[in-house]
Amino acid sequence: MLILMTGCTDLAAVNSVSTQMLDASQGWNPVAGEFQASCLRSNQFRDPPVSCETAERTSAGLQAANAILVAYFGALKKASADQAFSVDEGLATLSGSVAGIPGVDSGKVTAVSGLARFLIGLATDRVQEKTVRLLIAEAPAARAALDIEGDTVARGLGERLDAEEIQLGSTFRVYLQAERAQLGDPAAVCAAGPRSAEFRSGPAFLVALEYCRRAQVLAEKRAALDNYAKAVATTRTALGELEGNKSRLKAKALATRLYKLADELNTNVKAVRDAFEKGEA
Amino acid sequence: MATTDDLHELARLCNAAARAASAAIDRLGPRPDDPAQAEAWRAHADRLNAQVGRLTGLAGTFADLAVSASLDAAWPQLERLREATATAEERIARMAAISDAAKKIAQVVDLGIAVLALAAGPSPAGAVGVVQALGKVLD
Repeated sequence: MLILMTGCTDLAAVNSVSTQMLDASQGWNPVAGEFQASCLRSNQFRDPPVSCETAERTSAGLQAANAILVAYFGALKKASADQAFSVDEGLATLSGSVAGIPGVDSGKVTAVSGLARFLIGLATDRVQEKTVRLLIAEAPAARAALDIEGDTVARGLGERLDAEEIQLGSTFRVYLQAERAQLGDPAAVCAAGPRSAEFRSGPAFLVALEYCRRAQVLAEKRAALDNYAKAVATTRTALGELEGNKSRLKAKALATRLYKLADELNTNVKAVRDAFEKGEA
Repeated sequence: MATTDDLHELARLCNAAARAASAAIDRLGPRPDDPAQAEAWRAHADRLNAQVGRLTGLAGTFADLAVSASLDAAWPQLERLREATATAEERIARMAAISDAAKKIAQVVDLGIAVLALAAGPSPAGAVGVVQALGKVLD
């Protein structure tokens, strides 16, 4: 598939990587929302609860930044798609109508409309490339936003998930110890799943089960953070490739690299979606 | 990004302190059977757990503030990105308008042909053709 596609030397490769960048950035909103979601989940077992106002503001700010990135990648996708810059459909309709005028030489109409299509094609190609270049000229700004996504967001969300995990462990420890049981090493207890025989009471066993369920969801989100960081890094690399090759956007070598990056993005985006679009723990 | 790094560091420190308080709960062991000791155990465990709650709450807040500070710093660049996107969208829309204009002209030509045909040989079918062509122009 990759080899076949690299045979194309038009803007198809730019379009393909833009489609994947758009898809990736659309998947980042649940990650942005996770700041608020994690705070609310932690409050379920935190007494007294804390205000989630800063978390809400952070999630909203990130979602607003994501919206700008999504629109940018969407415009890049549209601008690199040939259909957006084609007037062929309009011209075909027009030449069909003109050919229908009584007494008109249909051969001449075909020849003239072919020439018009060629000339307009030349002009629209230029407008298309200019539009793609206009967008690529702003790639440094997009990369600045991606730096936040990849570095600060991944780190900050890691810290939030750490806080949630500690809070979860602490409260569930109190519940279990109050039932005269002990959580011990949570990773070891949850790896194989708690066994009722190991607990002195039914409630203690149920508390351990619930703890492990919530810990598992958190572990999945944490693992998906790596995929998220990788998806952001790949998007950044793809933008760098476009920026460094903006005068050679139709080059075959660039197309090969762009298709490879598009494949990489596709893999990581799926893992992020699976983990962060699940909702409540 | 000194502010952001400092905030991340504060978040990390709060989480480390919360982890220590949580470990202290673990060291309390199971609640004793003796009612008086059990009551003291409960008070101690609740105090430690509330401490964990405050520390994890602070860690989360510092993490949020670190992200918000980075976002504020990058916002002017994001605004530029928004403007470039709007300009590109305008150009794309203009191309669609050219294609639509050609289609409109074709409809007017079709209407003219239908009128000519009706004038040359009036017929119910010709009249229907004019009405249909006019409908397309007015759509």
